[in-house]
Amino acid sequence: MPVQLQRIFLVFLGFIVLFFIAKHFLTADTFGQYGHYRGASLEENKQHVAKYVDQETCADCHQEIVDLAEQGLHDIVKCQICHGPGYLHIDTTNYTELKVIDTRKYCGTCHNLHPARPADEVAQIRLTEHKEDEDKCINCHNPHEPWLDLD
Amino acid sequence: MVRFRLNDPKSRRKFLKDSGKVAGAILLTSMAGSVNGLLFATKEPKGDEPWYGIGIDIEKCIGCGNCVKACKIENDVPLEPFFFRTWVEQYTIKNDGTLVVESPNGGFDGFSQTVAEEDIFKSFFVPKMCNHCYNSPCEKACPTGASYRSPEGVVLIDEKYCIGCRYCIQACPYGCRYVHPVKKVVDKCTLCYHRITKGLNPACVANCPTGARIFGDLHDEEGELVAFLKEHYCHVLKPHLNTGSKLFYNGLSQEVR
Repeated sequence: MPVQLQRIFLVFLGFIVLFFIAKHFLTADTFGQYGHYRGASLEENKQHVAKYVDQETCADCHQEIVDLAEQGLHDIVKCQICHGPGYLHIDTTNYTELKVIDTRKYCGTCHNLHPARPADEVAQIRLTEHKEDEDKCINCHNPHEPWLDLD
Repeated sequence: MVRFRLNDPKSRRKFLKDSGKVAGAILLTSMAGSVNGLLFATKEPKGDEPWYGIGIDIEKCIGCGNCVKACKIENDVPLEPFFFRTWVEQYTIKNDGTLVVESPNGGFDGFSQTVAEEDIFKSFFVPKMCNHCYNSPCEKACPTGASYRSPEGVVLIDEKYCIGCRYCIQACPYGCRYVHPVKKVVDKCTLCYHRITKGLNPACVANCPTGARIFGDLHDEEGELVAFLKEHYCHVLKPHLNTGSKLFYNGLSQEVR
């Protein structure tokens, strides 16, 4: 083999060795652990705080009201849909009251008459025509037992 | 050194033979490639490991937007109306056959009626989110390995490895990705990975007041999702793209894209 080729091969070999050394230091430890990604990223994705707590957590303190709601038409409507996420409400060091959304408009997101809303899924009224002088739906309807209060 | 002498009949024959071999090899590999692609489409991992998917019952969705709200709160998604991990679209087919698709603020504040009632032939809501494809185009487009599929079949982002090149946003056929305006990295639905690994349902599923969203393990034959898939005629979005979507819709009209 001509001498100039030998030198070029040596230079190439040097580059290849350099590449592997650089790759060793620049690649994260867990890269390739499960696939072509950083394995530690799975753990990082798990670290996020779960803000909406389990329905059982609500029932730990508010068993009566959970039972009441589960007997009525709102049985499938979970507490935190209207009451908001409960993770700070159960935090002893950083306790926060929940803010319930009780506006006519909010009730209307489910119950205002809408042509795309399946009629058999949810009771619907025209918000603009139904008791428009009442400022809140919950004046008459208890959201935990929506129909039982009316007489 | 070997020299080609094209005038020599032997070497000419050899040249033709070799060319034939090369052409044949190229033809065979190209055919094997497409066959391999077909095999890949059906090669979903089987086993005892969880393999998560979502079912959506369009016939139950009332378009209240609680899933959109819960997702934004749970995952700190910016409240501006163009960043969504999940959103709801309203499809309205008019009597004259034209289609109106709208999604005011992604359905965050619910829907108000825009098309006159007498013009409507059919109208329905379609919740959308990441399809968590097992043959995902976004993951393939990522140059750094920041977009990946977890062993449970959830497509996730490695925020430390994402360089914000936006290739994956262009690659996703369902429009499920965006660049987070503060973090400057790509953000998307994680199927609430932090919740499902703790045994909780994803925030959108947990906060659906009609049970229109079903989360479950596709490998669990007794599970809720498998039962939903058995009992309904389910379709995925854009099946011709062979993305291997794991977001199954019941009652999906062909108008939905």
